[in-house]
Amino acid sequence: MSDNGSAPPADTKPKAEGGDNTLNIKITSSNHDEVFFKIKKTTKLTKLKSAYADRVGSDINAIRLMFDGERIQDGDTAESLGLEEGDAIDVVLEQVGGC
Amino acid sequence: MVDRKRSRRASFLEDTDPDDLILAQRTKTPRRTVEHSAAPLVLRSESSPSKSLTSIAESFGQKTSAILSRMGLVLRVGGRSKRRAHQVQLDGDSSPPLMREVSEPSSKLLSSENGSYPAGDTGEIGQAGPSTRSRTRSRSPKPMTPSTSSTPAQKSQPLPSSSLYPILPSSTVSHDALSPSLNSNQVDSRSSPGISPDDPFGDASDPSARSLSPGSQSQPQSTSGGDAHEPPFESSGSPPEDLEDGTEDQPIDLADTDDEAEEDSHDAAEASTEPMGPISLTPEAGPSTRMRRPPPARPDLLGQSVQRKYDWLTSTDSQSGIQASSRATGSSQPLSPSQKSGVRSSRSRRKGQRDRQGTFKRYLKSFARNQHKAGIFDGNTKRAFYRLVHKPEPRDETQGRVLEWRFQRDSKLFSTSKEEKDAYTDLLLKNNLKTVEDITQKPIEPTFSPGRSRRIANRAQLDAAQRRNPAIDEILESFQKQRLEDEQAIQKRLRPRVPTQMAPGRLETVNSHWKNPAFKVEHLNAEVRSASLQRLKDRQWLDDEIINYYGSLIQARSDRSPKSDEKAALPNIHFFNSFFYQKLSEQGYAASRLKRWTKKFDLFSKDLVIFPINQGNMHWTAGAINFQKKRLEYFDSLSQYPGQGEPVFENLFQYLQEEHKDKKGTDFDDSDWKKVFNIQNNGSDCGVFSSQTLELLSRGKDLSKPEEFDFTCEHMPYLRRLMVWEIAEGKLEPRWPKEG
Repeated sequence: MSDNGSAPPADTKPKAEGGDNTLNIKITSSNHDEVFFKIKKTTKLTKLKSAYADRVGSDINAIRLMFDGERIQDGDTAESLGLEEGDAIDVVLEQVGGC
Repeated sequence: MVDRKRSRRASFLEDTDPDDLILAQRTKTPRRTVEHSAAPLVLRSESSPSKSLTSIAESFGQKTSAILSRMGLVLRVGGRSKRRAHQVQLDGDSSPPLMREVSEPSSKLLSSENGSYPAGDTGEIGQAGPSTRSRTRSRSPKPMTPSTSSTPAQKSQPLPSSSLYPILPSSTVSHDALSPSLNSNQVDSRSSPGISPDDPFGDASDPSARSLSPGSQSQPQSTSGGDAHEPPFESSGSPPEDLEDGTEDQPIDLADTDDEAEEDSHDAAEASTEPMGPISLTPEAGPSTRMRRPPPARPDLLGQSVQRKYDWLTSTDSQSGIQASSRATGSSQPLSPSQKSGVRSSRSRRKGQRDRQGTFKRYLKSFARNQHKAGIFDGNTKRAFYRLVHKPEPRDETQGRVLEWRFQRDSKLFSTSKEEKDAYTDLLLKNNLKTVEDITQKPIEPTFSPGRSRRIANRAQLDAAQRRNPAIDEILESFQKQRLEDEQAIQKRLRPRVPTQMAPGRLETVNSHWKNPAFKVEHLNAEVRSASLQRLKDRQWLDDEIINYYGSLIQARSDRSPKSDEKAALPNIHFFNSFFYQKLSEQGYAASRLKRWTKKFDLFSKDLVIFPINQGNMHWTAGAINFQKKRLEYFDSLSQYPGQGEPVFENLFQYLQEEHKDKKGTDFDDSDWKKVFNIQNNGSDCGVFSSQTLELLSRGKDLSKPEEFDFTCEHMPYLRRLMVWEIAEGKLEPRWPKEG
């Protein structure tokens, strides 16, 4: 979608346009890398996830988005999660273990 | 106080109270019987030495401690304190033979031979006793000095000393030299006056002695011979005493000058006192010069013995002397004759020897008889005996010496060796002077001696093993089996075991889930897709999806549990997903904005916070913050060492601090928090392990006790399928269904 894949420069725009429908959020990884996105409140966050995976170049199945300690599921939207302007979404990598 | 010299026949300890009388203790022979007329003391031989000692002590009304050891006797009478007690010790030389006598039947024979002595002695002694005491008391300082205060009786003292010897009949021969000194030492003379010359032997000898040395003895008494005896003794042993007394001449002088007076007195005393006395007296009476002549005429023994005797005399007090005398009277008489003869060495030797020989022969005969009876009279002994018994009369002094030497040598066959005696004496005198009472009456204190108890136990085990009855074993075994079964049944009821097999119907469902590529379930904020579900197959590693999904199931179950029902209620828990600890440990509380994780609830109101921990993307463990028990818990299925949980605990404490500061505004008090680390070594399936551990925790199990883990490796296949089932169903199965 058009919302996805916005680059840092996109940040500035959303702020201006930020009115009713869109949010500027950032996705932070455990490395403290931050990627900013402007999303609609009603957009399913699956799109955000895939956009981030594309951007970072990782397997979409190997990353999980979390907001305030809760995993963001495919059906969630910014609205349903109560995301607000400037909120940060954590991205974590898949964990495995079994020895 | 105790004389430590080896050759002492007897040594005495002073007692503060002169009334306390010490008796030489002879255990078995009747001649030991001693009566002290003044005092209630009566010594009688008894079957067991210890008994007799005790009884004696009792007769004195005193606390007696008697030392009876291997070969000797030490009798303690009436000490108020042990140190002050009278103590009579028979030295090594004298005691062994005595003991032998006691232990052997021969002693009886001896007694029978000498029997006349003992009987007479007892009576005499009893009479003499009081007199002796009084004298001794008066003289107490110097028992030896008979001449001063004492009448002839005192002079006779030497004789009484001889009486001591009788105690040791066997030794008499060998000890002859010693005996004289003893005689002199013993103040027996004091007692002697009272004592009447009962002993037939002594009497018999006396006349002969008189005849031999008639010139010297002026006194009418038969005992005049005794006088003659005295001088030599005095010369040898008494001199110190004499000096002290002052009344008496020095030993040497006495020999010359005193002869008559002393002899007279002695005679009287001796006559009354002991048979021995007379014998010895007679020979001496003649020449004072002989007296001076050192006893050493015989081999070393004589000289040594004399000296020792001297020492003994000096050391002993009047009381001791008295005691000695009393003893001597009681027991010594049989020996005395021979001893005296030995003492006289030069002058009266022949006579003395003859007398002694007579006595000794009698003794030997009886001894031989006894031995023969006992069947222990072998050839060598027999020959020696023959030599002893048929010892020819010496032609002259030289031959006499030779004969004496041989005689002594042979006689040693029947007495213990000198080394042995010495060793014994040392042993006895040096230390370990334990009385029989000490040994017998000492309360048995329980002591810690593992070795001993172990030995006892081993013996008991052996005994038991020997006595074991196979039938009993079977019964016991059956009992044991029964008990085991009962225990298992109880355990099954109390704590249902985790099943290892899943019901076939459910198994099919699980398999179908695994085969379904489109499998996807969501629960709360977790979801599991087919790819993750495949990881629940055997030996596959689990990923965070399953772990977290399972955690959400646990959370949901706890949330659903009825709070009203105390028993059914599950702890109020919160489940952090597997990223909680990752963020905490990697980024810290602030950077990872962990404070936002708990914005919807109060962490500190929870009973329990549980979370899986992923270690290095390889290993799953489980952690918990137990607010109820105030402890941090960490469970690792593979941990090698307990310290492995330390970083976890550190991080958790850090988290609690910051969380508390953030939410409550104050520091978190972790002072009384404990750390619990437990290991469940099931070798694999750590993901399953962690999930199930969290499940256990959520049910309020106290996993600090290893036995609370109710699953093991063998349950893992089942648990994996169960997790598939539960994930698919979206709820946890009850744990665990009761079997049957």
